Amino acid sequence: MEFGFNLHTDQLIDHDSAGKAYDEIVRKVPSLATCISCGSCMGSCMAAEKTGTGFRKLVTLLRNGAYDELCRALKYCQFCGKCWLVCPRGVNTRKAILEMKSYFEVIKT
Amino acid sequence: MKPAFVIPFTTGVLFLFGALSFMYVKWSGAIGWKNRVRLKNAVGFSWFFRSAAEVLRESLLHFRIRKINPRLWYMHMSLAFGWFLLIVVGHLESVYHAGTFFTPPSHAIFFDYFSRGQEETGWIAITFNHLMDLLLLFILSGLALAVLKRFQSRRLGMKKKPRHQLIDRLALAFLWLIFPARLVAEVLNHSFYSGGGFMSGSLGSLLVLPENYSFLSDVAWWIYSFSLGFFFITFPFSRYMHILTEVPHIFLKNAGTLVIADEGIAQFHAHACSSCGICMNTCQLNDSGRAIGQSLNFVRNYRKPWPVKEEQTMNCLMCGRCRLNCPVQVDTAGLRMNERIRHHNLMLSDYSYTEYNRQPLRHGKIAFYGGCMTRITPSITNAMMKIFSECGEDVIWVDEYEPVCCGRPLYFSGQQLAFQEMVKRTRQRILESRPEMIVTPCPICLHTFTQDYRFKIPVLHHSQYLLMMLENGRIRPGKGTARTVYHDPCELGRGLWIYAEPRQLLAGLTSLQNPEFTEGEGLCCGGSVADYELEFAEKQHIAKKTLADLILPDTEQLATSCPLCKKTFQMAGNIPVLDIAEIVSLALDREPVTTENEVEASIAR
Repeated sequence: MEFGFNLHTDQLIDHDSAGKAYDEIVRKVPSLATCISCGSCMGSCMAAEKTGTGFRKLVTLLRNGAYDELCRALKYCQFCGKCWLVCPRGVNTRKAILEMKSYFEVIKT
Repeated sequence: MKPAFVIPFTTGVLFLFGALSFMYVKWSGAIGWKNRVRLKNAVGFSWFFRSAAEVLRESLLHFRIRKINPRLWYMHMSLAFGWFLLIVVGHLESVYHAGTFFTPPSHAIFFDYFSRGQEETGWIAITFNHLMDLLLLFILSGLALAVLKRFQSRRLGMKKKPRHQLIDRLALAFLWLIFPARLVAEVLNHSFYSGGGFMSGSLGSLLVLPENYSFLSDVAWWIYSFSLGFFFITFPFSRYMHILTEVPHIFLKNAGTLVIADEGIAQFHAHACSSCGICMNTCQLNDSGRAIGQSLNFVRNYRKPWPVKEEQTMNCLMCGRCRLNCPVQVDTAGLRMNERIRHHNLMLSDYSYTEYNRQPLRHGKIAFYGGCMTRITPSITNAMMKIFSECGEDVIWVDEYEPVCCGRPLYFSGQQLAFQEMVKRTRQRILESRPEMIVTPCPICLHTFTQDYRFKIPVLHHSQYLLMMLENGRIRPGKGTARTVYHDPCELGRGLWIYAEPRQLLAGLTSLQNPEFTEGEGLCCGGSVADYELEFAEKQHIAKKTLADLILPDTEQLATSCPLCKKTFQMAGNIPVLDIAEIVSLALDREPVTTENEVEASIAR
């Protein structure tokens, strides 16, 4: 029976499938697991200043499985690496973003 | 009537030349139109003789290796030049005896077999005999060093020796067998039949064997022929492709052809690599603890028909030391960029946000472009602004509000589409202020500007600009005495060959401890934006090693001219790291040394 309600796919937190993508990225970039969401990356990011999405938010989106939002946010990265330089945990942020782009196929078709 | 043992050798030669022609025709066909134009423009006498001289110098005599280590040079040179002479002199010997120029190669290779029982008469024949023995001894001495290098590579100046793959080891085994097998075959030959030079002849006469053992001589010729034949069959699939590919590679290289986005030229470059391992010795990845992507490993895998693994492609600082040390100057960075572009070219990007709340730029005579990295080292920008106001320049800071990157990190990741978009945006933003000159403190940005932006106005590094101001007398800094070591950033040194300007600037303002420099030398700080694989701690190992190599016990400060190097060194050590702009800015506060003061001081003395 159809009640006329819709689920917002990008707001849906699916812990089963989220784990799969996150595990796959962490397998390739082990330092991502040490992220403490401190927000230093957001503070130094040029894109975050204008768009509101920095590396911390990307990790949150990846963990929560909000992939539509994630794929949109991944396109903003300029790979300058300031987030990597200021990260207190030494997360290899640029590789993590590149791996996310490959995994979610943010590519021209 | 030819003996049967010639068959393995002839089969090998025929296979080798068949495979070689197939490969060379395929690669030549893949050369792109841009490189074809470059080649067409370069063809001429000077190009030909320059390239031919380089082939003689580097493919046969290996002079570049002599600078690294004389023993290593002797090993490479004796094998390459010795074998070349053995072929040439052997052919001349067979020509002399046969009386016709066109003798089959097998006649020269197995000459001692064919000349069995013929008494050598005349000084020319005897000279040939001794000369061939001398050349064989020359090669065997190099071979002995090559065996020594396998076990004790440090004795030949190699800190790290390459680990070869199965096909290379197989080819190496056959190669090592060829020359001892030839010696044994000649000695046994001369033991049963007279003749021979000073080595094979005397050893043969010392070896006394019963007459019915003469079949041993034929067996030795079979082994020699098989070792040659198998070596030639493994040749096109192993690193020994370099022996012949070096020649077309040098000719193409000297024509100014580029590897980027050209699979044909790239294949010539990749196959001209001999996996000698010289690049590994100077590679700074050794200090990081993760060296999987070193040029030797990467180029070896690039030769294979399948793509190179991501962790190998992205594991490189792109500092360019390997190319400068390479005996045949294989463009390792270009090959790596080709592979990176293949992996990541089509990734999507969206940089339209750079235009949100866009502030129009006013006109300024000088456009100051800070770059991304000065945002986390703001002291450089502050120092530059102070100097600009001291000079009274009409300057506009173009990336103060709008986040634009020069695009170098995107270029290094292989995302060409994103890079092009970034270049377009940044170029437009800079030119919006209609400047007459661009000044940037970041060598990474400077390299991209000069390489990809095609500006019609001068683009200067701040060291060049500051030196210009100092020479014009528009800034009058006071002399300092802090003992300073200057660090050459890779992009500024090996990228743009700017070594002298920062030193000239520092020489007057500090007590510079390393005023001499060698072009092409200089260590990477480890913070390179080109490497996507190394973890933070691994990059810091490189930075610590570089600091330890650079600073002296009494050094008070480290000077550099790159914001990224400054940041990386700051995190790696306790020594104060200052950009040259900061040093100039601090010196402006000191009392300038006027000529009158100097005159008075000299009178007082």
